[in-house]
Amino acid sequence: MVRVKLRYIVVEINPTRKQQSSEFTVKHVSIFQALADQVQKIHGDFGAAAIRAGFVVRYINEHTRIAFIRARKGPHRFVTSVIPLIKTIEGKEVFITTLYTGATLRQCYIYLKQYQQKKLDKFCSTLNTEEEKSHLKEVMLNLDSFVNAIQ
Amino acid sequence: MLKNIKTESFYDLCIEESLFLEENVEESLKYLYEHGYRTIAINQSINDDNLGAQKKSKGSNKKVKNSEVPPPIDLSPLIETVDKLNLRGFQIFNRLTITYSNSETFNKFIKSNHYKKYHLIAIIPTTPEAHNYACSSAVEADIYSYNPENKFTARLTRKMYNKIVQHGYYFELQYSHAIEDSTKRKNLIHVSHMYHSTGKSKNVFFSSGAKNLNLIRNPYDILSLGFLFGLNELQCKSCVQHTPQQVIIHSVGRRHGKALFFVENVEETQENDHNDLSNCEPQKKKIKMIVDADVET
Repeated sequence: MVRVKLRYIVVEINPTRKQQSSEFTVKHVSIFQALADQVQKIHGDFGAAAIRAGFVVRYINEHTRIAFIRARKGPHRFVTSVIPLIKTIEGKEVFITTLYTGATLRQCYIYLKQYQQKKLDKFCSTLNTEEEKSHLKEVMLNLDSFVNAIQ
Repeated sequence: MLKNIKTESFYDLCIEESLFLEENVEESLKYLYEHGYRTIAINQSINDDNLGAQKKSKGSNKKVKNSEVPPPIDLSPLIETVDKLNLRGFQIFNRLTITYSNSETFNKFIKSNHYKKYHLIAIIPTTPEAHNYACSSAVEADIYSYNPENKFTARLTRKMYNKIVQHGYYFELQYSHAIEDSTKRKNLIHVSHMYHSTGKSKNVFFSSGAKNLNLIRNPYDILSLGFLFGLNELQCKSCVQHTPQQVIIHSVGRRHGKALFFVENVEETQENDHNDLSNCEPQKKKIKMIVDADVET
């Protein structure tokens, strides 16, 4: 048997500039729903049916609002093409940025680690106390759920 | 001038001027830089709709002539902010979009004093006659654009498409309209598929055309969005990277008339000195030549 090939898309859900605050959260179920609806809208019945197998959305880190989308290779193009078109989730204005598309979770993990480290370095320069820095580091580099998913 | 040719990717060659008003300049520039854009063009548009009415009411050509093309936005404060924010390799251009319905009004725009001050010129023909006029050699412009608010009325044949490519025009697709609403999205997809079927999507490039910062997406998102417009990944990449670069090189060529290359003294930077020392080679020339292959001979 040939194994089922998948694509993992790492995305960042950002609030628009008007609503920017640290407490901004969106449930991962509603991201799933928004993506599925948008695919239905743009690609129609065929698109909606094509992506249904193996379509999963999970948060990697809720604080940094980074999530991954799993889709089958081939129909994943239906998903990636509608990601820039999503404007609202749960009635909140958002925009979704694609960070990386990988074939294995391991590759996504390697990329994400580097990405978060870069971001952390940038934020750390603005903080003064060591405590704040270590707290931020803990929050941002928390990829445990991701590691669990790999195993 | 050399600075105008050497540009870095990624490109966004159409951003509305309203995003660069005094209070939000810093915010906009930072936002674009963070998304990975290094070369942008600020768009100002003119329309010939009101021109006829103005002419009748005032009765004098002179006044109308001066008011036709607005002066380009002064880029020096923007460049100052770029230096202040330490955004490396960031460049800004002026761009003028002309919407016209017949050749007469278009020629009036060209004669205006401010016309030559713009770096990039884009045209949007609204009628089939205007479209035919654009295909003839008379129009000097860089970008053949399209406004997705209206349906594409002209008939585009392969012969016309090739003629437009031959003149060195580049076809523009403004993706922010596709995000905005369904009708514009349909119009835009229709046009891009037409480019695909008539001309294999030659010389097509993406720009945002955004009036709002929320409608700007990062270049990697545009790569995946290109799937909707009938482009493969490789074509998409050149749509945000190589083709816009060619647009800028073409615009330099257009402004200099029929020329093959130009010669310019280049100031030596410290980096260059260092490189030369490491190579242990004597400095040969201080003059750098750039060959612009796009210009017709």
